[in-house]
Amino acid sequence: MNKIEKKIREIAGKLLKDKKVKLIIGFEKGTLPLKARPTFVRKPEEVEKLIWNPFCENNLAVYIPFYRRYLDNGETIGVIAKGCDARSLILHIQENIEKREQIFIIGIPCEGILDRKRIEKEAFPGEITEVSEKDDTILVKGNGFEKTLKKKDFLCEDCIVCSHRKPVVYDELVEGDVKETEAADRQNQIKEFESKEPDERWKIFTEEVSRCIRCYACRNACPACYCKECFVDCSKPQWLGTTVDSETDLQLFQIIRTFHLAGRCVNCGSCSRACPMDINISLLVNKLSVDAKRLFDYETGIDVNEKPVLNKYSEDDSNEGFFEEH
Amino acid sequence: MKDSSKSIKHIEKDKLSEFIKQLRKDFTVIAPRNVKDFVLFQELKADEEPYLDFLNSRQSPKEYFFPQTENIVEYEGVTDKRVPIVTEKQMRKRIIFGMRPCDVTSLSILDRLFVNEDYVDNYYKRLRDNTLIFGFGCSYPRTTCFCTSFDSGPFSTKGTDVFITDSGDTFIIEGITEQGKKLIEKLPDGDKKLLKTKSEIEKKALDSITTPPDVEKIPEKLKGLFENPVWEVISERCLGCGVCTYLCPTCHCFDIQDEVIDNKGRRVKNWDSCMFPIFTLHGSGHQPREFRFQRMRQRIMHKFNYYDENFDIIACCGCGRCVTECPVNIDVREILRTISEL
Repeated sequence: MNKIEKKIREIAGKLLKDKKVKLIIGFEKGTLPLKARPTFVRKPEEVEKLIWNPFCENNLAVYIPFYRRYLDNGETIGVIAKGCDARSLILHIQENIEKREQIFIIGIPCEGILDRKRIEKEAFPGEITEVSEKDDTILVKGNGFEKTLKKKDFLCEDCIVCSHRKPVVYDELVEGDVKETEAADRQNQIKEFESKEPDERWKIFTEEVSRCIRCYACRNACPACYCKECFVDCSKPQWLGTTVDSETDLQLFQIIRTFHLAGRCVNCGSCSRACPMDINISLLVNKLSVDAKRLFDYETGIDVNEKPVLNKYSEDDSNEGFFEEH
Repeated sequence: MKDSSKSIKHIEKDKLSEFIKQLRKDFTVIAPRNVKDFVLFQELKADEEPYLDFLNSRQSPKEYFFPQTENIVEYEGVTDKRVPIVTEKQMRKRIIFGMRPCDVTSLSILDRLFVNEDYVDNYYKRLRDNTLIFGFGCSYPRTTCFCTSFDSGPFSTKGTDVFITDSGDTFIIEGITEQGKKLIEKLPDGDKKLLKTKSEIEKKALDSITTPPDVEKIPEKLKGLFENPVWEVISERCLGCGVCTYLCPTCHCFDIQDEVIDNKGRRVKNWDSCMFPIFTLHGSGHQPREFRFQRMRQRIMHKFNYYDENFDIIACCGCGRCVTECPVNIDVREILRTISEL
């Protein structure tokens, strides 16, 4: 048990014992070596299963809308939150999904999530069956295979340029400070993509998306995708075909979903991690985050009292995109 | 006893591309390809060798029998009196090369639904009848594999036409059906020793599948569990995406849509998933499975109870794809154990 885990259990146990929260959403050990999984704790004696490691890859804010019944009853939910999870919760609060006082944010200073898929590729075509952590490295083992990997070489792309590793809003912060990364420059992450000609960008996009099998794991893993009825599921009227042989259907799904996330995405990377076809989904949404920052100096999920960027209007707003200057 | 050595052949690894080239003359060859450091079954390009250094493909080759999108009927030039149907093109014979035994088993499961005495799905049957299966022994089952829970195993040849084993230096090739034997008759005969080598590899593979869940009593057990609160526990972390069902080699639900533009159109069959909120949504707006636990229950019940009742076989082949790819690590092996212990 590491220091963070110990503290998480302590805080969670106390909250449940004092009946301050109805439920705590955190992580437990999964059945796969490179994956921790979401867990739901309701009794103080169950807090022992809560864990923390760099494989806690899901954004737990995604579960809050499932607990409408708790929120409607005025209950409070505790969430073990990384920087990005906390920002998603703030987005929810800004958009009136939950009230600030109904969420108890147990903030984790996160050093970045490790990219399970890239680590798995180290063993390709074999399989990693065991993993252990030691300081800045992880030791992975498989069938006749053993490798020590530096954590910093296997951070998720979105974690490399993360600008808020430490939750910006929290009710209790688990000790252990974390340095914000020097590479916190999302502009840099998409620079290469942005510098390409439109035709080339379109080619990359269409090739990536051509693998889409429309399982909607990207959407369902996303805390900002909480629409009661997603546009792809709407049947009266039906906005979108359900085929995979029509390029338009596949591309439209990704494009419309991306635009729905404009100024709302916290760049947690959950969509890309969830994709079974390894499509680089976050690339698109990240471009919009960069635009939100550049055009409106706005970052998602920072201030509970602020409105989401596309919900407010100011006469000084950038007119880029409306009036082309020649 | 038939003389099994007669149908045992072998092929040196560097001669494989020549063999594939021969097959391509009469068949479309669909084989494992390295897509992006993961493997999918796709049609081989000219002179391309299959990528055989893999554990299993990310998606099963189910789509070649039950395509994710499939035209049932196409029409063009509709007038108020006539709907002229676009006639079907002739289909070239195909080989699925390098299919793992779990995925081959899944076809025998799907066969019972799509081709039975009450009903024949001509679309499925046509694809099935026109395809030969080259099975590929699974020397290194993954830790998430549990094919031995079912009537299958890492070297089960059932349902294949030709069976391939990677012995390290060479491929051991067995002709299983008459058609299969014919296709490999020109390959050099294999030594009887090869059979021994194969059985050693097989034993090692079998030994590595250590804790397959016992599924024998699951169908019976599930009968009384429809109203059990366990479904809410099992499904609590479920995000409701379709990864498990769309990667599953035995899931087979579909939805039919009409796509019409002017006087041209098609009726098209698309995969559907019981995990989706729109699955079996009634025209009235009523949704019989409104909550995630009801959808999870449907998935498990359908596979392990309803299918068994209808077709006398469980609709799972133990490939473990739903286990490895679920974004929140819902593990069907755990679910089965939980159910057994109730």
